[in-house]
Order: sequence, then structure tokens, then C-alpha cells
Amino acid sequence: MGMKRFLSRRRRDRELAREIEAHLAMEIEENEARGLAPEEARRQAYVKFGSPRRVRESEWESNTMLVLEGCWRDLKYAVRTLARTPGFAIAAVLVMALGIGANSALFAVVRSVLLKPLPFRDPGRLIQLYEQSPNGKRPYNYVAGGMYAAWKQQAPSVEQMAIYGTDSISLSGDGGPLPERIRYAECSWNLFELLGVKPELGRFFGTAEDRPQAAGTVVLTYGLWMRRYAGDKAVVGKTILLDARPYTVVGVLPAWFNYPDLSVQLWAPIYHEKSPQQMRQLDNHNFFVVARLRPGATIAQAHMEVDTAEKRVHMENPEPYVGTVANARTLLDGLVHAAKMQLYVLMCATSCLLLIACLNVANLLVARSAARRKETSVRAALGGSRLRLLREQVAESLTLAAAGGVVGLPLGWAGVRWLVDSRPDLARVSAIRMDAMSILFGLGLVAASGVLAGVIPAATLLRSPLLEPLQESQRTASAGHGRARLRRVLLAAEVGLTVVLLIAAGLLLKSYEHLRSTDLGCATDNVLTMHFSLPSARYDTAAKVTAFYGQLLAGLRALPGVKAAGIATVLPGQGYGATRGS
Amino acid sequence: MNKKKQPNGEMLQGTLDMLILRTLVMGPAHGHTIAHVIEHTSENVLEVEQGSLYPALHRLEDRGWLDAYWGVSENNRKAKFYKLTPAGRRQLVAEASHWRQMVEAIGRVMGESLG
Repeated sequence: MGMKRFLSRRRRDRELAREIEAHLAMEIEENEARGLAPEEARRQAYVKFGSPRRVRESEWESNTMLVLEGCWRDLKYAVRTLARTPGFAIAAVLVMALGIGANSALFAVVRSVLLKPLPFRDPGRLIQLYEQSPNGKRPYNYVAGGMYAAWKQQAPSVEQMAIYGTDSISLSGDGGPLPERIRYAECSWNLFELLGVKPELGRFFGTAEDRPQAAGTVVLTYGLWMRRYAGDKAVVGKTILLDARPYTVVGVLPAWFNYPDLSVQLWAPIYHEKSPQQMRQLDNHNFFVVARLRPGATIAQAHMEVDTAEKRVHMENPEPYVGTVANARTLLDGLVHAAKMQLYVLMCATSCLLLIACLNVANLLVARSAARRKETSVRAALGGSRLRLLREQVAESLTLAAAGGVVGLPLGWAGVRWLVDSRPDLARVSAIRMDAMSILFGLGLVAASGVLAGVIPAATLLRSPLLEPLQESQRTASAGHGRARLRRVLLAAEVGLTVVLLIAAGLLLKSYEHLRSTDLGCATDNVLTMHFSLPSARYDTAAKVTAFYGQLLAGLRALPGVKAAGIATVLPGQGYGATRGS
Repeated sequence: MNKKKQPNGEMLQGTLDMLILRTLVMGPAHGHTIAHVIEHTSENVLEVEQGSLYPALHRLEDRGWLDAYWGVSENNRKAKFYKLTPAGRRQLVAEASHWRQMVEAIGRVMGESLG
């Protein structure tokens, strides 16, 4: 009700004015009818009524929500004052924008990557189980196939367990594009059911297909289905060749499914892909194990059971490289673990940035209040309260912060989009987006930084006697001691934070530059590399393999634009672990 | 003539409201008429501070006890008329009974007239 009256103030005032006019006119008429002269009639009418202006003013005020009125006026003053020093205002706004934008963007990332639950069914009950490496250095290491079999039998707190591993394989024979070498995963038939995923097309594996003698079956990821098969719905039932062996496509995964990362393009049943001996081995650690806890069971219980099973197996098979310790953590933790530390450090850095921005604005306000001491004292003498002055300063800093938010939030949003586009290898990158919560966080930052920047200078305002400057002689126009010290402190803090950030940034840049420009000792300009692998089914003798290589090199060298071609198992600079599958 | 001139306190504001409601029982009227009626009926004991009349009228209108409309007065002027609503009627009854209770109570405390 109050708001309606507030918005219709002007109309009500006009009506009131007309009413008063009519009233006075009638009174004057009556007075004249009683025989008074016109001026006397007017005078007496006005005397009787009182002051029409005062009536209108008091009506206006009672219709006004004083708080809003005060805020609006403060805002106008703030904008006008800032417009007098546009250079500084723009600089302060830009710094604020950077601080607010960077923080909101990072908050969006942290929220999506670390805080949002995984998109599976009942994700709180999903855990991942690991063996500890024999030298104890890696507690969350791969699992051996035989150990998984033992765990499965001996963990009652676990409702379901599944195993999977990743590998590279050649995909061909689908009558379409060229053969390519892709990353694929093999899993036990129940993995998707355990996670709670429904197929986009077709179905997932059944127990009969997860056997060495079964016919080969695959499940495609959505990305592969779109990219290589153009989303053709008839892909279910199609036969493709993996390493020259035939597999039937039985289903397609939904678009959001990116587990364990974006590089995996299709899935096959593990007991079909790996031989029974491989899956019985205890000392060959190749796989990942996920499990779903029974309702009511805790991860600690599962950990204990699995660890006991591990030790039991080790006792029965005391060979080297058979694991002795098992570990467990939530699936979410397993996925984002590497990113956690980096994200938190980044958050610290962006917080520093925002703090610098706030200190910047606070410094401005302190400097300004020093210059306006006399004005402030006069206002205090006239009855202005400290609270009023504080409100004005906060209005100014809030305006700067709001402007910073207007520039910074879109910047932050753009930053998040760029991150998602340019780093598809990050954990859970598909979940990263700037949602309503992050924007609210950004707005909260605007408010908090605005108030903070406005309140810091008020520390001197509230303590020092306001009327003192009026009592000083005209000669001493220097800033008071309290203010000067505050300015020094603020400046020191700002410079300190800036130096920390600059040094950190400089070090990071240096390492990056170092990595990029390391001299490999060979030419790296205009050199292309390619991975490929010959399926052992078709190229089973050394003679066939050499013949293929000879043909390939001849063909390559004959291409226009190719100066030289060669084959190797490892590229210069790739390191020890790069021999797989080249 | 005993002119009752009081500062614009809370009590007087409430009383003025009641008087306005009572005046309008007789039918719609505009502000000028209401002021005159109150003064004449009270034999000029009560002098309505006309500056507070219109705020009071608007207040009563906001609370839904009066309806307002623009009309033409007796001497062919445009004026804003006020009319009592059913809710206003109920409010008048309530305030009148409250007023009578107050008067009786004060009377009991004051006892016999002192002179």
C-alpha cells in the first residue's frame, strides 16, 4: 500500500492542490457574500486555512517512503561526484570489474566442478576403490583384475561393483570415413546400470555378452555417434571393425555422459576384450573399480571390507606386486581431485584481485574526505549526522561496485565460455556453466565490496571530532593525522597484494614459456605427426607389417608438399610412457 | 468564545476523524462543507484547523472508510466530494462507542463538577 502511494505522489499532490484551491475559492466567496472587501475576504480565507503549501508538503512527505527518497538522492549525488573525476572513476570501475568478473567466473567453475553432484542416480552412494602401489607412493592406484574378483565376493556393504579400463584401438569398417585410432573403454556389463544411466538408443550390455566366447558388442558414446555416424538412428545393429574384428553396435549413450573423460569414444564388455588370465592376474594393475554402497552403509565400512579382502589375498599369494592396501574415496573426489588444489589457489588469487579493487576505491574515498573536511564540518554543524555522511560514502562506493559488476559479470561469463571451449580435457568441463547461483554470487560480491570500500574510510570519519576543522585556522589545510595514516595503511596493503599477484603471475608465465620453448634438438616447425596401429588379426607376420610400412612411406613421400617422412615408435620428447600402441 | 486551539496531537487527529465520519452520515459533502458543518454544529466551540482537514480526509479515503469523487458544488464549482462507505459506517459506530466509554470513564474520575 505504501508503495502505491509513493508512486502516485505527483497525482495526489495535484488533486490536493485543486481541492485546496476550490476550498479557498468557496471561502472567499462566502466572505465576500458577508460583505467583506475582496482583499480582506482573501486574507481572512487564507488566515483561516493556514498555509496551503505546508499542507501539500506534509502530504507529500507522508506519501514518501523516506528511505527510498534518501537512497535515490544519495545515488544522484554519488554519480555527480564521480563524474567530476571521470579518469579515476573509469579506472576504479575497470579494476572492480576485473575483480568481480574473475571471482564470479571462478566461483561458477568451482561450483560446477567441485560442488555439484555427479549427474548419476543417487550419486552420494557412488565410490571408487583403489589399490595402493607397492612402494606406497600412490595410494589411489590402478586395480588388478584378480583383486577385483576377490573384492566383489567379500564386500557386503557394497550393493554393486563394476570394473573398467581404457585403451586405444583402431576403428574401421563401417563403410564411412577413414579408419581412426580412438580411445575406448572396456567395462563389466553392469557399469551403466550401477551408475544409473539410461541409453539414448538401443540398450546396454547383458551378462551373456560379457564373456570371452560371446560375439563382440559395443556401446557408442553420443559424441562418436554424432561425429562419425551423423546421428543415424539405424546405427543400432550395425557391424563395425575394432582392430579388424567385427562388433555389433547395441546402443548409444546419452549426450551428457562423459565418464570417465571426453576422450573415451566407445565401450565394450571387459571380459570379452581381455582374456580370462588377464582378468585373474593379481600383479597387473590396469583397471578402475567403481561401486555403489548399500543404503545405510558408509564408505568407511566398504573401505575396511575391501582392505581386509586385499590383505587376505596377499597372504594367500605373497608374490611381489600383489597389492596389500586398498583405498576408497567418493567418485566425485576421484574425478576432481587433481583440479581441487589448482582451483583453490586460483580462488585465492582472484580474491586478492577483488581486495585490491576495494582498497583502491577506499583510498579514493579517504583522499576525498580529507579534501572535504571543512565541508563536512559545516554540514555537521548544521545538523548532519555521521550516519548521513557514511551513507553518502557507501552510496559512492556502491555505485562504483555496481558499475564494476555491470562490466565484470558479462566478462566473467565470457571467460567461463572460453574456458569450456578451450580446455575440453578438464575434469567435468561439460558441467561448467555460469548459472543463476553464480550470478547471485556476483551480485553479492558487488554489494559486499561496495559496502566494504565505503566503510573502511569511515573508520576515521566515525572517530575524529567533526567540528575540529572549523576551529582550525585557515592556514592549516593539511589532512588530519588519522586520515593520513589510514591512507598509508591502505596503500601499503594494496601494493603488497599487487606485488604478490605480480610475482605469482610472472612465475607462472615463466614456467609456461620454458615448457614451450624447450629445445628438443630437432625441427618442430612444419612437422606433422600421426598415430596409427595395425590390427594383429590381419597383419600377423613381420613380413606383412614391413610391407605395409614400405607402402605407407612411399605413398607419403609421393604427396606434393611432403619433403620427408619417417616412422618411429616414440616421438622425440614424448617420454617413457609413450610407447603404447604407436 | 472559547476557541479550542491545540497542537496537532494524536488525540485530536483521532477525534477529527470521528467528527468527519459523523458529519458524512447525513450524506456526501465536500471538504469546505464538512468544515462548516462541524463548526456550526458545535456552536463554534470546535474550530477545525482547515490545514489538517484535507490530510484527514485523504487518510480516511486510503483506509477505505470514505469514497471520493469529483462533482459540482452548490455554487457551480468543481469540488471533490466524500461519501461514507459501509466500512466507514461500521468504523463510526465503533469509534462513537469508544468515545462514549472514554467520556464516562473520565467523568467517573473527575467526579462532581468542580464549579
